[in-house]
Amino acid sequence: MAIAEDILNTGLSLQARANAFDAFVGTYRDRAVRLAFRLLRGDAAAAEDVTQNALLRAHRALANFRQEASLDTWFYRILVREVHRHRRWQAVRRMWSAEITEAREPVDERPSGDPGLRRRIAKALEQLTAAQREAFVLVHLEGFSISETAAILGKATGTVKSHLHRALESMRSDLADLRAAKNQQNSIGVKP
Amino acid sequence: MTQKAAPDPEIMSPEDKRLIEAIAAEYRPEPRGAVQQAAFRRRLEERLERRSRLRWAPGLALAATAIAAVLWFNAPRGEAPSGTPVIAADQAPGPVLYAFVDPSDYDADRLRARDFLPDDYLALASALDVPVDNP
Repeated sequence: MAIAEDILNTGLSLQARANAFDAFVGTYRDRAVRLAFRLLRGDAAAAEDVTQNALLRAHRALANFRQEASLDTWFYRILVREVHRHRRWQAVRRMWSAEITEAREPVDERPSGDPGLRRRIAKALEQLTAAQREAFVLVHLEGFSISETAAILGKATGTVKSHLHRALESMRSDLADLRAAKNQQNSIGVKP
Repeated sequence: MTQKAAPDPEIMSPEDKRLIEAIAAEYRPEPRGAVQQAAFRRRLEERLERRSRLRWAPGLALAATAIAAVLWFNAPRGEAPSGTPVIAADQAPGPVLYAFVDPSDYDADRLRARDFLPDDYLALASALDVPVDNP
């Protein structure tokens, strides 16, 4: 909370307020980029753009931050909204360009890890509804609690639990091989 | 018969945990180096700066539009075409033209037949004592 107070404190010098915003960015940037990456089919460039947009919006909206929610919840709610906005734009662009070109898929050229597995995970996540995907990523991959996730998504905890249950079922069936014991991992293509 | 409640999503089987761990480990962006982080920060600063410079732009645009609207509504218009043609005195219609006007509905008392009947007709009418002006 101190970060938000420092950014808004007009009694502080401009430099001190800029430093406070710098600390804010430093606190949230990496996790925000990772969360956006996971919600945007592994598109790293889009994840960075969306995170920048969310930070800009947060900077503008900090004056309205009422401390009814934690700063975390407040910021990640902004980020998830930016993800929605990006996906809507993506859908519109895809619709308009469908007759001209194939829809652009994010290109993952990383030599590290297993690009094939990443593609499978992205595909499995895309099979989920937006609400299921968000709940799954926030709780299972990002480690938010169910109540934090409910606050971020603006949903009841029971609804989030239901989304998680369905999402996990779907992921289990799509990526069943990943559930196998660790000593079998080499045979399913997961590099240690 | 009781229905089995859905398992708590926060309590998972070892298999599910393995699934989640494998996804979390593989499905993440590449860790970014100092150069990329600095570029991210610089871009963000540029966007913040640009936004603060453009903070007045919407207000200015609105004011300009309002001024343009006021000027448009108050601007003098070109000469409108006159509604009633003005006829010079020397071009006023002669008494003959009044003959074509229905005397019953237009200034009938001003019309006198003697003003436009030929003189020889008037002479004959006078000799024969025929009334000329009154129908």
